[in-house]
Amino acid sequence: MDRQVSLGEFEQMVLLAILRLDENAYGVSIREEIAVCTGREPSPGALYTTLDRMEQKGVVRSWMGEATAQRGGKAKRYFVATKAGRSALLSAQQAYQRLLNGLDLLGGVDA
Amino acid sequence: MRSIAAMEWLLARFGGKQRAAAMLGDLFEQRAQKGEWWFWRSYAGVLAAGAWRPVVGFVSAFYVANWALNGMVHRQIGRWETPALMIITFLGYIAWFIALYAGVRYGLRDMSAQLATALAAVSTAVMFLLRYPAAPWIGLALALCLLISSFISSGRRRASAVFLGAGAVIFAAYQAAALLEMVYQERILHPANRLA
Repeated sequence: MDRQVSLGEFEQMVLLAILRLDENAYGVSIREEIAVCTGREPSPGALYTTLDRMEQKGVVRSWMGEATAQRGGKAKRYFVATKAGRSALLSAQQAYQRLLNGLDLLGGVDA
Repeated sequence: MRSIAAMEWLLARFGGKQRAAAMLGDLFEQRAQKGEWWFWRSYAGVLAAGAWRPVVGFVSAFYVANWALNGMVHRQIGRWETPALMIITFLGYIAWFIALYAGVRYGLRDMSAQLATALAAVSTAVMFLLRYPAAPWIGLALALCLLISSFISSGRRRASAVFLGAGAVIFAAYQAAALLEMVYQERILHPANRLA
């Protein structure tokens, strides 16, 4: 039986950004997508470490793309979510939803 | 151009060459927009993020394994040195080294780290049970069972291969160091003894 992969909060953010970017998900575009959607700009070091870890977990896979002069002749490393990654993301989001069910976050007693 | 190649080479030490090139390319792409200060700060951050685990892992593994070896040898003072005790001491040294290195570098879920931790626990337990003459033999049998069961299991085979490979490398390094020390003693420190 396959064990369900667990995803941390930042990993979920990165995976959602990859899914939103579809075919154009590489380091720069993932950072920009996260910054635009969340207002939080991750450092390149944190992002690459997370992407490597996610690839080891099997939730994303990567391949090398084209090199451009703008990038100093270096190729882009594109990322795509795997089926296991989509499944793990869905489980994580459903868990959040179950925890939120029945809660009145803005109208509570201590609000 | 030479500095770019050097930057890429340094990044590639803590990952792959393609990975390093892609990361450097991402930084170059944003260099014009975000500026020189951002570029160098980000490069240092990427380097540190990739390097801290291998470096801290190796340094801590080196010191903890030697500390453990000292402790194990200290507990053997006055005991009869048997082949089982020598082997379990050597296994313990390797196990402590790999447990620390793999644990820091790859995390505690790593199979090599888990196997090495189990072997380190067995060898350390033996050192606390040396008053029982059979303890080293039982510990050695248990360690062999752990290694063999790991090798039989397809999911854990790599962990036992890593352990045995690292053990062979450390043993070879130890032998080479002992040989160098002997040559140094004979030829440089006490050449007169050799001639006599």
